[in-house]
Amino acid sequence: MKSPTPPRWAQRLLTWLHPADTLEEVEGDLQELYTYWYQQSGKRQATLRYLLNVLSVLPPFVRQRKRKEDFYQPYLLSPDMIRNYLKIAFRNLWLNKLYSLLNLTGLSVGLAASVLILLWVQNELSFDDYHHQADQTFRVTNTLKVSDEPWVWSNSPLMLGEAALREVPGIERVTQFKKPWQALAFRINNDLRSEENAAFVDSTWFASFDYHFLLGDPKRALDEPNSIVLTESKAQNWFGEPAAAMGKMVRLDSLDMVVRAVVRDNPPNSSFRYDVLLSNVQNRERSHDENWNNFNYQLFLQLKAGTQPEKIGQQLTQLYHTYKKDSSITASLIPLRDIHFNTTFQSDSLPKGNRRTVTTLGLVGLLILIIASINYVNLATALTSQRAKEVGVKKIIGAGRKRLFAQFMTESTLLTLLALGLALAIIRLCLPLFNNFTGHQFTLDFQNGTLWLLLLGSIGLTILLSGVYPSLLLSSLEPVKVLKGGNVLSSKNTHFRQGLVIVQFTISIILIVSTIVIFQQLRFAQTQDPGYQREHVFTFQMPYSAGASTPNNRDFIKHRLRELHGVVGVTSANQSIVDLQSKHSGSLKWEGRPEEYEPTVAQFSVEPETRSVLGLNLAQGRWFQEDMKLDTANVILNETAVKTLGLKAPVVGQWFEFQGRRGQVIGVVKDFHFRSYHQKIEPMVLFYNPGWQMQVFARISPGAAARLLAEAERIWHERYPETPFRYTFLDESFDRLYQAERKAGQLFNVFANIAILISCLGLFGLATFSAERRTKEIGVRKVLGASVTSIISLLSRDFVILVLIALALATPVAWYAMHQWLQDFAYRIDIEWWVFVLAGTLAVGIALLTVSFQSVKAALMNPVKSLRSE
Amino acid sequence: MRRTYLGEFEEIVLLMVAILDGEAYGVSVSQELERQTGRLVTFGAIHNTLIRLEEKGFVCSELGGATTERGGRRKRLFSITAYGSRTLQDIQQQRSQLWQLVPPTSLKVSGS
Repeated sequence: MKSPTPPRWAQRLLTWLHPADTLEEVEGDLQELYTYWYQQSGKRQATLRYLLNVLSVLPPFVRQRKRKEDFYQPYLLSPDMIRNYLKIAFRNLWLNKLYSLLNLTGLSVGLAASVLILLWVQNELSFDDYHHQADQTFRVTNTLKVSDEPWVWSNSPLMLGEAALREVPGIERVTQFKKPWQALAFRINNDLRSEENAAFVDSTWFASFDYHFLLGDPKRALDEPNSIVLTESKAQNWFGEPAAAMGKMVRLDSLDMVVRAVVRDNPPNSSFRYDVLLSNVQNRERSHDENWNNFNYQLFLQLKAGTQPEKIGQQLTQLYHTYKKDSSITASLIPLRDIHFNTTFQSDSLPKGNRRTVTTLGLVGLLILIIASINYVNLATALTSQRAKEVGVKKIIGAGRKRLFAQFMTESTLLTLLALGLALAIIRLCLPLFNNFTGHQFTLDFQNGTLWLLLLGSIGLTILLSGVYPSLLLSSLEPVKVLKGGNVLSSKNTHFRQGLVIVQFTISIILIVSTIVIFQQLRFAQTQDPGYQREHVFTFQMPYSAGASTPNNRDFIKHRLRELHGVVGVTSANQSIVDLQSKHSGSLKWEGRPEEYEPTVAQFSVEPETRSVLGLNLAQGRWFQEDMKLDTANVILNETAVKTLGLKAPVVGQWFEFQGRRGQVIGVVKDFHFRSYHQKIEPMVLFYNPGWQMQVFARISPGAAARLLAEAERIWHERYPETPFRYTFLDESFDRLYQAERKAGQLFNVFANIAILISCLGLFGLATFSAERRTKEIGVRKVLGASVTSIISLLSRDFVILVLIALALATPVAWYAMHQWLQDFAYRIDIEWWVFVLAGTLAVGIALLTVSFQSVKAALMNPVKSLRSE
Repeated sequence: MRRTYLGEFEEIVLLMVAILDGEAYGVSVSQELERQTGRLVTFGAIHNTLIRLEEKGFVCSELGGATTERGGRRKRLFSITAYGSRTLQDIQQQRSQLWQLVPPTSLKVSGS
């Protein structure tokens, strides 16, 4: 008789979930019981009881039978075991010296690079985070709606802060600062020091923002009118040592000031990069500022808990209505933490960050870490066959999977820690360079929690990325298969390794392409004719504070400069032609202007000589002339202005009203780039107003620069003995427009090199390994008559194919990324196909070179040697 | 001597193993238990108890005796160890000593 069978699914459930070592007996017992129940009380009852009883032997109800321990097995992480792991790890590292060295180099370079870059990224992301009241601190933003584009100002009138504190409820504290228009000149013990990083601040400044006071009283540092606070390094610079600075006199113009306190240097993630803080009370322009029309102060509000910033913004707008009688300005509040990445402001004096750059670089740092970890994974898995016997024997002796896993993790951890040591040394060496590059003062300060977090994070990530897969793979090997010999690695494993090599080279090629495109665009900006001549022209600005005598002094200096031998021409304008920010809107009138059309134009105040000194070209008409008295009312337009404003031909001779003066359009100047190539050329009105020309330009003959600058300084000091002479060359300030891009380019260059270097280290290791493994094969091939070249190509082919696949993968990604980057430029290059070919050739070439080192060696070897060794 | 604690159910199951004398395995223990005491317990309870008894050293086990009605699967046969039988005897002895101490009147049900 066939015995009745319980439900199949219940049996399967049992097989799945019941502990394996008691499964057989329990299955049998339950089957027997089922038959018993079936005979006793029928199928229905039997099935029900069977199900209930199956349930009773499933986890969590069932008790696990303890395995009989035939031998002593120490705890996984007992000190003895750890000592053993370490010993084996060291022996293995030592045994495979070449691979260990390759891994160590790759990991340490990768770690150093990514830690440095993450240091910077972390710094950018934490801007102004450290002030303990950062959450309640806001800055006032003023938006002025003129014509089509709103003007967004970071500055507010001095009066607004006072009115806000007086009339708006919910404000805890108000503090403001003003950055002087020009560098301040301080006289210290008869030395004249020009100081860019100085600011006038309210006495509430130190209560609002966190400063670390080294000397002096934080609460009363700026209480007295003639107080000045220095940072540690500035005090050191001026007085030799911080302690010596306390109570010393410093002279600004005709005011004597006393150093009341010395604070620690601004942390790199502070927006306020001022080394000299002066009490606002003695700001000489203060009386001039007590007026609702002068927007000269950055105004910070600290709100009481629970106050809504939007509400405060509305109330501030109301204040403008009441006091300024102006309804075109809207005030709003921006949180202190958000200031760093907000670029909507027109000329915010605080240093700005670019969120996209930060994310990109953070990503690149991470990628470098991944590339370095891949090396370890690849080499470790490639060496599996060597380690297989070890694993097999260990397993037979009784090592469990967990212990083997722990052992291999120890190896990767050990290597990573060694790499960390090296990386720290590299970082220490590179830090001055890096600081110079970023303009920040980073230090390897081990008291800094963030640094630890960063280091631990990158180490943890590296160990995870590099250690886990090889450890899992190695500990999973089955002893029987291993000891029987034969190939322990499936081809899946080889594919995995090849996939990782492709990832490495894809990343490297993307970085190479990015570097090439960035430098191409920079070269484009460099070589493209901007429409004026920037070589051999130096420029300087007349001091604003000097008042009414300025035009007189300017003419004196210009006159004296002209007399110098070697000076080709001297002229003046309102701003530097390289980056002209002056804009105007509202007063423009011309024939056929549509009602309501109020365009914003760039304004450039020039004079007759400007054209020849700066090398501007006319498209039509004439330039301003000395002998034409009426020219101070006439204007010249650029070609874009003619187009945008819609002036009908003939343009020259039409009437034009600008800044309340009506004259004629006397000429049209060819478009020139008066801002960076990021921006499109805007309509521009050139006019002739000698009162508006504080920027002096001098064209000199090549080679005379040093002598002429010394002469110019002497002439300057005849009129301004108290003010240092500060000049720039036009081509230098032109280059500075692309400083961010140049830095990005250099950075990408470095990263591309590091990525390629690390990838090649890995490739070298793999090539060595594959050449070693195929020694016999090569020997046989040679004996049978293979040529050296054919063997080299045999060994190299596999790797070159990988790099080619990487190129195919990298091309679209790199194209897309760089296309996006170029969108930032109004005038840009096209990405050409040869860039990818060049990057590909470079990558293939470097890979080939790396591999050939090994393959040539293998191919040249005497087959007798390799075949004899059995 | 510190004796390993033997629970009530454990004691019963151990007794069953002793009764079955070499023929004790999951099914026979559960059937014997039902027959002798009328207690219906899940198979899991017996399985767990047997494992626990073995861990405590009262019984030992070996695999054997595959039959067709079990689908050719072996059964785990349990037999009582010397330590197990001594423990049972200890319990028995202690109980009877205690019984000696009970005054006969105190156990009389009132009224009978």
